[in-house]
Amino acid sequence: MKFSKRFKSILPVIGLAALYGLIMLLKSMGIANNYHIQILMFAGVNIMMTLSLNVVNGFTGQFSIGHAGFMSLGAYGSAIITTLILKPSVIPASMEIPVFLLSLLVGGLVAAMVGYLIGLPTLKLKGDYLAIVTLAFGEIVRAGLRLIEPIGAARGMIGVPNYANLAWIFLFVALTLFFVRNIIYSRFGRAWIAIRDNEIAAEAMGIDSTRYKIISFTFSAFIAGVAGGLYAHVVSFIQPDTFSFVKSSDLLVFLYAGGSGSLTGSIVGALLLTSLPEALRFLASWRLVIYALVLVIVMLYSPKGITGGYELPFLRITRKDIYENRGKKISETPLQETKEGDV
Amino acid sequence: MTTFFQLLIYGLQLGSVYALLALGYTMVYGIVGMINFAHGDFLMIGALSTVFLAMAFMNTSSAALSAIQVITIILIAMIGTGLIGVLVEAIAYKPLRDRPRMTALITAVGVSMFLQNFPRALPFIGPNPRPFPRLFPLVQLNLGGVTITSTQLIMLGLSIILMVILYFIVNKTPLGAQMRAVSMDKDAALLMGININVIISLTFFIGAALASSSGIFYASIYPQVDVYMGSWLGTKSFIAAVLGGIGDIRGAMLGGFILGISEIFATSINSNLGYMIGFIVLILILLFKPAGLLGKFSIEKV
Amino acid sequence: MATILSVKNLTIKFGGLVAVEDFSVDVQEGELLAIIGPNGAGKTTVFNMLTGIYKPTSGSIEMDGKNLVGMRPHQFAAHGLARTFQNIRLFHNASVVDNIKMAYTLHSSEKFFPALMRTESVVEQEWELDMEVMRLLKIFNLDQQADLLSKNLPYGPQRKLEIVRAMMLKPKILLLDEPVAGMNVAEIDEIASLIAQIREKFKMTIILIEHHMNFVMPIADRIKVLDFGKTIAEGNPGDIQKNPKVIEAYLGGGYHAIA
Ligand SMILES: Nc1ncnc2c1ncn2[C@@H]1O[C@H](COP(=O)(O)OP(=O)(O)OP(=O)(O)O)[C@@H](O)[C@H]1O
Ligand SMILES: [Mg+2]
Repeated sequence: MKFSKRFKSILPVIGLAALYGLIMLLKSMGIANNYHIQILMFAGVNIMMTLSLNVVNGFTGQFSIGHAGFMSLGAYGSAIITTLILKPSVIPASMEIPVFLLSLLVGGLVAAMVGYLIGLPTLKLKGDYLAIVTLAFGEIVRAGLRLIEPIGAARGMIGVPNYANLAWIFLFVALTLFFVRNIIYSRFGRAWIAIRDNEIAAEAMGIDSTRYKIISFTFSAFIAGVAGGLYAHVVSFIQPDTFSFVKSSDLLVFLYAGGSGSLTGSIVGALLLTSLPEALRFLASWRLVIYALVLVIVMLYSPKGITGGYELPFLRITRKDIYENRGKKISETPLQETKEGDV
Repeated sequence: MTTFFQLLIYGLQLGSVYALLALGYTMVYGIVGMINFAHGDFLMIGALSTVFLAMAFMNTSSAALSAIQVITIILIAMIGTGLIGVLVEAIAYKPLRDRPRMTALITAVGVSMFLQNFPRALPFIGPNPRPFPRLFPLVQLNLGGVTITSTQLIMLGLSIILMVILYFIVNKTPLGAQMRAVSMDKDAALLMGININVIISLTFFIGAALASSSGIFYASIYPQVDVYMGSWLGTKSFIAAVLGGIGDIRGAMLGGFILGISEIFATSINSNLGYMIGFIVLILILLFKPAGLLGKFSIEKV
Repeated sequence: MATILSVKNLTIKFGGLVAVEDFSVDVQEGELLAIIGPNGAGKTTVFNMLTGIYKPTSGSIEMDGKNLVGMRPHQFAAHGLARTFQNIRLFHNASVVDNIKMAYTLHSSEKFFPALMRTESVVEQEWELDMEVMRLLKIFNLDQQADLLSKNLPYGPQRKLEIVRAMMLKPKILLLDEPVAGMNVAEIDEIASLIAQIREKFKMTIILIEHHMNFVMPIADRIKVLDFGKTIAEGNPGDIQKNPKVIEAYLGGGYHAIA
């Protein structure tokens, strides 16, 4: 009992480590090259971004279509720390990691704070109106960044130290999954899902919808900010126009094509759709045509996304887990497996 | 003062482009309840097809285009784009009518990507911007230091005519009555024997045709056409529709002109500010009027 | 018996329509008050005002000496007013258990950061909550469907689940909007005994809207009759049944439900 409980919780960690080992092995054998690794890192950042969007759109049922704005705040926030405030040349090697982590935290906090501040007045807006405000927010941030000369204005920032390697990306994706899963299966996640499924009933059942929407928005913005910080330290070069509406709509595509309201869906969507355009490069200018067609066909024929609402076992917490975690059996209550994802 | 009037004229000219494009957003939203993110691309299709039509006409007549030819070109471009709009709806949106709104929105993003990248991939179109032909004669009028070109006058005149026609169709004809019925209550409209599919197709036709005309007008002022021009003009016009009160035709016109004018004035200060101003105006308006200037919320029946 | 809810002169207008006019009532602890009336009389609108979903044009809703008018619906819930909906409003993509857990949000003491880490104490709280929900489901005979998505429940059990969900709020007053609408005879009996059980076990005060006279008459302590937004009669079931105004309103509305 005890052992199996332990095993279940470390299994994903072992799996992830094995995957990382495999990639490194492929790299040392010359099968995977730096280009592949680079794409994998982008995919990791995109997974985090998609999870972040999933919290707001998939679980809370709100429409953010300007999430690139939070990503850019995180990217700039953290890059300013490692590039402008502390110059890479003066940071001693031993301090690189703490500085890097601190910068990610700052990036996340900046994004979260802005998320909180814009959420406060706007989350009362309904559906599409909220969507358009988030779009406006994203574009205002982008145009605003283009105006600030010390951070390179429209030219952007170059020379951001490339601290983020594949191992860091793996770690942060895993942490994000862990945190998002935990929160979804808590009071907070349940409140979000209640608001998503029926806001009037949620309110009538004592759920302060504005408050929980703001929590959702702020949490989501924090993840997006950290992801943005990682991104900056992968590419070494950030520019306001990288975080345009095109970026936001890419993220929406990852989310809904993968399957919104499912963590597995976010992983699959971001991973697949980040690598698909790369894999299609041989098609030259027809590449995005095919990509667009694939997207429309997925939306038309698979409304729940590619994963169809499936959730990997370690990305959900069932009632059985709740009991087994405490070493208890639930003999007196029958347990059926919920077929579709239960969120 | 002359600068003010000069800017106002530029603002009105840009505003008419936004207004025409915003009408399509607002009509589709009012009737189908979806945000058609591919709507801006109809503008591009209108402008691009005009380039090719003009080339074809020039080849045959070799001289400059006559007024009849220009009118023919505009009509063909509008009708053609309208039909593409109908086709897009039938293929991509119709199957999604009863699905969550986000599904339709994402599909629209896919459609938009397709509409931009398909012509881009075609060898005879490609990614490079191309010049737009002169459709209207160039005459400049000088009114006390303020310059007005014939293009501006024709454009403003034509867009006002188009908007009046649309307003008349929607509010004064049996067809318009049916459209309004569908937008209010689809089930009831169905019971009254209205063919909803026809009304929706028609809405897309009108919206895309108007977008096409706005593309022609836009390219007449900034005579350069490329496959991506529709996406950001589309975003702006969508903003215009929302700030005017989405679903309301007068709101779209009002929003278009407000956006065009404020953008021109802000741009005269700083170009980034010009880009931002629309979004800022939008947020401010929504904070005080959550349904836009002319939009109304009804209390949801529980 | 003490008054736990005091409603005075509630009036609401939608445009030109006065949907409810001068609705007043003092609800006594432990009683079952029924509101009846023909279609469109304004019954649901009264509930919507009593739960903060509509804001009345005028009038007051007092509980614990406080006027609740102007508060948001979740605050009404926090003051102990829990309801069901005439058109079922479950959280359709959540399981039966989760639907009920969602109504516990208000009482839960789970904190954000511990929940993020899923600390031992959170696991403990989740376990206790699950046990409590299962006990409740067992009482109402829904435990066999605990892990089903609520949208996959048949119609009858969905209505029942709404009642159980409202009970999870641990309300002072339970408001039921046509709890047996669209049900067959066996299901109606089951709901009747369920309501009896709630009154007996939890000493619950209940306000109930219903069309079925033979359902209301035996269980109501007091009945208020609405017609076109106005209260046209009030009293015990026996008197109401004989009241000519009530008969007129119902027959006028084409009703044949009077037993
Ligand atoms: N949000 C609203 N906007 C406009 N009118 C409304 C609204 N809500 C209710 N009404 C109107 O108020 C009146 C009373 O409606 P209500 O739903 O309270 O009736 P009811 O007594 O519950 O009827 P039923 O037995 O059919 O449920 C109706 O005429 C209804 O159309
Ligand atoms: Mg009712």
